[in-house]
Amino acid sequence: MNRIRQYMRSSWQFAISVCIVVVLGLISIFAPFIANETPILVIGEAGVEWPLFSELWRGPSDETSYRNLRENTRAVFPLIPYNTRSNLGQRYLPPGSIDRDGDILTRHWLGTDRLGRDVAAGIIYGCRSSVFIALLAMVISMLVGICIGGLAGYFGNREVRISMVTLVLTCIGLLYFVFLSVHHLLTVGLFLTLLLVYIVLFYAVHQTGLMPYKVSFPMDALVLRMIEIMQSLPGLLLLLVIASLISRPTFFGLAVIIGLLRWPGVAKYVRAEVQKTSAEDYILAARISGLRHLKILLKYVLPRTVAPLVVIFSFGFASVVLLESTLSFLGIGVPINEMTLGNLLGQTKDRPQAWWLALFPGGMIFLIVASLNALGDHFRSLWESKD
Amino acid sequence: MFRFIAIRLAGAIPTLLCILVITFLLTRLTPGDKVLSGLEDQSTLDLGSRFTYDEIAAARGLDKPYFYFSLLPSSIPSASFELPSSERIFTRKLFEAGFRWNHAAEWVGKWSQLQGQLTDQYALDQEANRLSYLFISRLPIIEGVQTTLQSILRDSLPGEIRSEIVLLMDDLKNQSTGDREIRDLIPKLVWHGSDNQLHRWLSAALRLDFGRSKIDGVPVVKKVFQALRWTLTINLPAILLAYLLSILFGIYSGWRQGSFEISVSYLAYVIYAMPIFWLATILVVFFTTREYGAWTNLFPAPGIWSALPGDTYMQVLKKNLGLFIIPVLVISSHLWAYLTRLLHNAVMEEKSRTYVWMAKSKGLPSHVILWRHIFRNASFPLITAFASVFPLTIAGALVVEVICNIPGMGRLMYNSILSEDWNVVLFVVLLSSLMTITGLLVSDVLYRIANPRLGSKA
Repeated sequence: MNRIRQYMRSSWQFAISVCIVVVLGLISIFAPFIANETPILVIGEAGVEWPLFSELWRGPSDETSYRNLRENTRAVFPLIPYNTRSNLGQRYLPPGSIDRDGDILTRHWLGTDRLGRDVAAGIIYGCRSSVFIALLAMVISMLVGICIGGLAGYFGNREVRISMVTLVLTCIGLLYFVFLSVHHLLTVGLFLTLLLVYIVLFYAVHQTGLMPYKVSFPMDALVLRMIEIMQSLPGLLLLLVIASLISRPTFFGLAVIIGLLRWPGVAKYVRAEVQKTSAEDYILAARISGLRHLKILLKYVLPRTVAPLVVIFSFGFASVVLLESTLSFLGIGVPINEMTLGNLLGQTKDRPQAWWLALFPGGMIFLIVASLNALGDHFRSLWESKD
Repeated sequence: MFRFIAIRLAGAIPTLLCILVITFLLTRLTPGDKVLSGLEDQSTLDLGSRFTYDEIAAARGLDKPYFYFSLLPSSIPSASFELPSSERIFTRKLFEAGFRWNHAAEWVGKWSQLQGQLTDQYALDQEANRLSYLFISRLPIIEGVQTTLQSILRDSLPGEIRSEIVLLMDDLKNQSTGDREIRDLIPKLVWHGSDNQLHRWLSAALRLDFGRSKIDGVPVVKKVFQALRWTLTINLPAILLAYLLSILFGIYSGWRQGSFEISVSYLAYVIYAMPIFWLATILVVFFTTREYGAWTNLFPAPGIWSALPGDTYMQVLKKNLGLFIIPVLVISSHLWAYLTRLLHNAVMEEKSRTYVWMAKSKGLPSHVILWRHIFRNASFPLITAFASVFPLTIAGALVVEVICNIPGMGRLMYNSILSEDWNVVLFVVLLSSLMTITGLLVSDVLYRIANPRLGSKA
């Protein structure tokens, strides 16, 4: 942390990108407080009310509209008094135009879109969903990538020796699992029973020494081949196909798919890094002194990979944001009525005159991608200068 | 070197096979009934009865098992593969919904019989037709069957038929208990040999036969290659331009730190972070009209693609040359930014190496140091990047073609996804993964040529 603070003082670009990322994070967390139809504070005859908080606490309330206020009542609205559901019917208003809504005169600072929704609110919520998807996708791909890459790098091709019995048992188990799920026979109870049987058998084999001979399991070669295959598939096109196969798309599902398609990049890095570290003397010493593999891996090997992983995380985050906005720009695989950055930008396909729809959402995507790329660059130089 | 190439090519074969199998699996996972959606002409969808369906399925090999073997629950007889396609699909669906196999088969038999009666004895063709396609219902199967049977029941039906339909409905209700026999959970292996769908698909794929497009019945390969011409017309000049310019700018921006070089590296940074579709949209929105200033009408607006059926490639190109300006500009500038950043960083790193210091101290002129020594070492990342250039430009071309109305591969892919024309979509995926594999191979070979220290062993 100290190093980062020092570095921030020496490089203004780094300081700026950190600031932007923090602000974007705050915007995504507090989006409902920045752009919402419901006022934060209403002062009237009944005293002081906090409608926004109670709405967020209990879910959307009944039909009470805060647009038509009674006399002697004052309300404090959020910065942008619209949310993505406010469908006002005034389509394609240019930025800054005044919209009359109940008793309240409001401005659409960044205009409205093809359904008459406020673009500024759309950008705030779009930023939120982009950040959510990218965060979830990167966490998933990191977890999978670290597990697979770490195992491949640490154990290599010769280290894992398993008995033939275990190998055959596992293969049969997997095949049976596939059989059950293909024929729709799998239930939760059956799955748990099978798992129990497998564990008992596994334990029995290990305890009784029923291990005639062991074979080495080519972990590294297997993982490398898997990475090669995954990386020779065209990412965006495959994502488009898979996303379009889902009948009812959600942000969560999209994030999971992206995460599962992106792990090879992480695994490749982790594998190389872990391989380098595992060859060092202190790891050998740890092995000789009889530490468990898992402990060595978690305590001495993986922490060394954290610095490059931060770099990968920021670049990966940027590219997931790009992927997601490309998908929603094309209108495939993303909930069609949600306001996302790509969706807003994509509306210019039908109406090129609406320049505000081209400029502002795109600018937001640019801001996210640029600041995260910058962050990645600076983290890399920070990490390289350490060595 | 040849040995190296041969080894690499041999290594690519399993990858290729895996990709082919994945594509095959995707063709089977796509929604919709394969027999109906595979028809060349959708107007023949009015099939008459399920007997026509069975004939088409048999003719197209869709009644065959998927793989070389299958693992069936031992309660399903192996002879089930000899049933007509529609009956087998129906029985399977009922089985998956919780029926026992023999009950399901019995029920489907009754259904088939009822249908025959309706057409032959009572000439109720309309009802028979509706009964025909019970098994393709998009609803959950039991629910779908119930609602359809309910809707067929009319007062005008002969009493005998009415009671039979009611009997069928009762049967359906009583037997979908969801209980499994122990025999269902015991698998048995059935060997099919080469008479299966995967084998047929693979051998057709080797003959470059990937089926026909659902929309116009044109063979997929022909359609995609026609579109590929335009994608390459955009991408090849763009790649060439980007490589040339980035070598020039990247090398100098890393070598000297004047204000011009610094601003070039900032520019590259900014363009790299701009989404490609944003760049294209901005160019289209702001720089194709006179609305925003006297000079902003720089490019022709993305209008209508004009081509007559008999035109040659050159004629069409000449007619639509204006449409290509924005795509080439956008894709090349994006690629330029990516490559310039790579080269800039590589040169910055090489600059501080001892061999540069050595070359300087023995009095070599700076352009010799730069181009003969630094450039060679700094070009390695450029060569490695060659592998990712093809996927990058194909992905970029996808959105740009959609924005600029160019009938290339990307737009074909986009339109085919929207109209669920899966044959075309999957062939595009297959083709671009082939391109990626080729790109990887070429970049590996080039890398070895540029860097002889690696030797030519695989």
